[in-house]
Amino acid sequence: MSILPKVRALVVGVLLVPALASAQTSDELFAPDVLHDVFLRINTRDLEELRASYDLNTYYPADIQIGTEVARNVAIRSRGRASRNPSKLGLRVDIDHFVADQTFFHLNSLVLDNFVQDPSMLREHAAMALFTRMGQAAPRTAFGRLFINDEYQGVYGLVEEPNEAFVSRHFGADKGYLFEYHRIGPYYFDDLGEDLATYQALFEPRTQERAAPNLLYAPLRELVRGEDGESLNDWRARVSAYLDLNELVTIVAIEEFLSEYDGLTGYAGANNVYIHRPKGSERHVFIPWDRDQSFFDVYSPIYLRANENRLVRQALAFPDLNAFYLAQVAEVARISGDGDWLQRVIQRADALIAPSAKADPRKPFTVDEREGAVRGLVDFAQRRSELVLEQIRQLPPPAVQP
Amino acid sequence: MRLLLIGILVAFGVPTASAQEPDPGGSQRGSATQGSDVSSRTPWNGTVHFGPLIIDPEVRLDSDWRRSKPASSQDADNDLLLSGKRVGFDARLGKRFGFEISADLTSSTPWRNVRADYRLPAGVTVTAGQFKVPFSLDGARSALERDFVFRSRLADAFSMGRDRGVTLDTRFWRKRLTVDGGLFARDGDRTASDSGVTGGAGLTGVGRVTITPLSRRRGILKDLRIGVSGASSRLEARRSELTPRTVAGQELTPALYWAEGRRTRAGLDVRWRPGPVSLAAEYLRVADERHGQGNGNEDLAPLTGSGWFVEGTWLLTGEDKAKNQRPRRPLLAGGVGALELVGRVERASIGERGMVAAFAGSPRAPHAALSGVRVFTAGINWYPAAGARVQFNVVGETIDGATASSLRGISTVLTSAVRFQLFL
Repeated sequence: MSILPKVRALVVGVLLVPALASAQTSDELFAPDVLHDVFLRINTRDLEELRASYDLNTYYPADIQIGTEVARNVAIRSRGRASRNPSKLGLRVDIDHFVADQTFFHLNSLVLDNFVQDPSMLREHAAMALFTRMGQAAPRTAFGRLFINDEYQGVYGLVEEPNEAFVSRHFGADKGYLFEYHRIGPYYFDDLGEDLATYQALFEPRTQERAAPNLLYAPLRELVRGEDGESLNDWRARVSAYLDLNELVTIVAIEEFLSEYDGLTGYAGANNVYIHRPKGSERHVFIPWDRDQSFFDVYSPIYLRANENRLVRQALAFPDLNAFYLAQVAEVARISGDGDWLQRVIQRADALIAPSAKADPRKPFTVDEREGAVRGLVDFAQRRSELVLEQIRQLPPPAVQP
Repeated sequence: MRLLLIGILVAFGVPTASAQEPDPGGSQRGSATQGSDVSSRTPWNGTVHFGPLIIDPEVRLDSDWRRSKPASSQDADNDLLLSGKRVGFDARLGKRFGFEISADLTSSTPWRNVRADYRLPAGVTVTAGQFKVPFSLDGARSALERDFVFRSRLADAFSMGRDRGVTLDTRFWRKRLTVDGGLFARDGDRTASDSGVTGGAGLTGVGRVTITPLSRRRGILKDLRIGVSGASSRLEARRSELTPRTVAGQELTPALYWAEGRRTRAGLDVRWRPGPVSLAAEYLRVADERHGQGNGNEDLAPLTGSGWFVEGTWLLTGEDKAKNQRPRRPLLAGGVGALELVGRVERASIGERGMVAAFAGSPRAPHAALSGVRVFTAGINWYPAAGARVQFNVVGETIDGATASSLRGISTVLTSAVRFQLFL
């Protein structure tokens, strides 16, 4: 037997020991007030193809480095829907796609948000910060200056992707079932029928990908099932086994406060959510995702489109859940306005990225447009809490018991 | 039904010509039948004379049955019945000019050999057209010349098959040394991948030298032949399609690694046929350069593949292997035909020893993961009459390091195969 494999293994081992010892955690990556320099090294041919085929999900190998942390032969692909862009690429970095079990800052994937739909470049960060402050399981974010083959690409958001590690961090070691919801057309969580293939198209499993369809989707089918002649009370009794209604009401309260344009109560049905179900349970919770369409209108009504999503509409028909909803909206307003917390989050992040954003060569908007957008966000943060509380005060008395 | 018909024909024997043997001198194009008839009857072999024009017709009918356990995903029904209908002719006009045309009527790309040759006065033969690239022992054998149902894995993966080109060949040292070399448009049709990658490398230079050092002496070493082959091809940036395949055609590493530069091949082979026995062995190595294929456009270690086989045959009924397989006692003459035992061990692999897929799954990984197959074949050939053969092979394949193959998780495949052949 050749001695070469042993020598090679020894060399790799010797090289890995210091690397492992110095491996940085995800907390360091998502530390506040840090603007990372993110270096991607991609073969010239692959980069040309990636830009030319930015509308496809083809993976390309690359090396990534942030600080002293390096991962080689990660996989990157274009990502997003409307935010896909051939110049300022939106990227998903899959750390262990080509190299099994490889991690980067203890993560196995990372999103590089190109901010092409957000001139301020701050919405995602501020929105997720508020979800987190409200105790919700929300992706962590940070900022970075992206360099591809040493060429500055602009300011990017570094966004944690919901996956097994995310689930473990928020819901315990048992990874359960995590789904990414894909909007194919306007969908309001109405009954989708018995065929599990319909659910497969909408809900992509992000954990337990190889589980049997019945195991994956049968509880989701029950969640959206519409029984003929079923009373609201019967619906609540049945659906409570499949959905944490208080959590649903809370996430909607935060969305409505943030005037989210493309979320669970979005302009064209539900969008930008993950759904998690613990193993051994049939009860789901929603997780927010991709919130660069928040802060849409400081005057936005707190029940905007709440009657379109069937789950939200029926939940808010119950006085106790509606009262809880209003309490949560008020709590979001209180937290946001407390010591100008939301305003300070926005301003601190802007101070961090402003010079780099100004030099961003690929942003699809001018410096003036960005500064105007930032001023709009600050104005939202300054006035939204009071405007929302005033809306609550102006509401009519609670509805009768359904 | 077709299988049954051929079976009946074989069972009763068809008095046709002997199988063509490769030229003992080393010519890979085997333009003339060699050897004498050892049977008591000499049937018409189909040769037609028109003055200076001599035409040898070629007809071959194949029918295969095979079954693999576990079945490959490509063989949903686990059984295959394949057919080959090969027709053509090999002709000579005078002493200097020759040509050959052959086609497989069952193939979507039917043309096989379409070539002409001219013998220059200096003893050099110029051949042009489409024909087998003179590289490798097993790679240049026809289905009739092969003693096994399946080509060796190394020849299947790393030899070149046919292409369009021009060669010069000549003999030295009283015909004991043959030198053959030329240029081809590409590197043959054999490396085309099943995984969406077609074609192979570009302009290819190839050379082959064979020596039969004792061919002028009497004795059992008279037939011993040693061959050395080399080839170099231009390789434009592409996913390298080089990969070993199982006998069912499943690729161990569907085109994964980027390559650019040159593709080089080298081979060494030996063949010896003393009396009713034959022994042959071959080693091939191929390397695809990966210039500028790293994530930072840096050069990467070449993608290398290699393989070897050792095979042996034994005509139990005593016929001389070096001459032909025409049975001494054909079935129709009250005999049993000719029976031959065959066996082969082989190995073909690609990638670097010690590299596993988990660390080399990227198309631009610094080193390629190792994927290989080790194969053992045992079988028996039955020649009921001249022009007919039935081959039965059992093939055991052990796969290691398979990466992106549908064979993932399957380490051993056992294949049984039967081939019926009728040929003129």
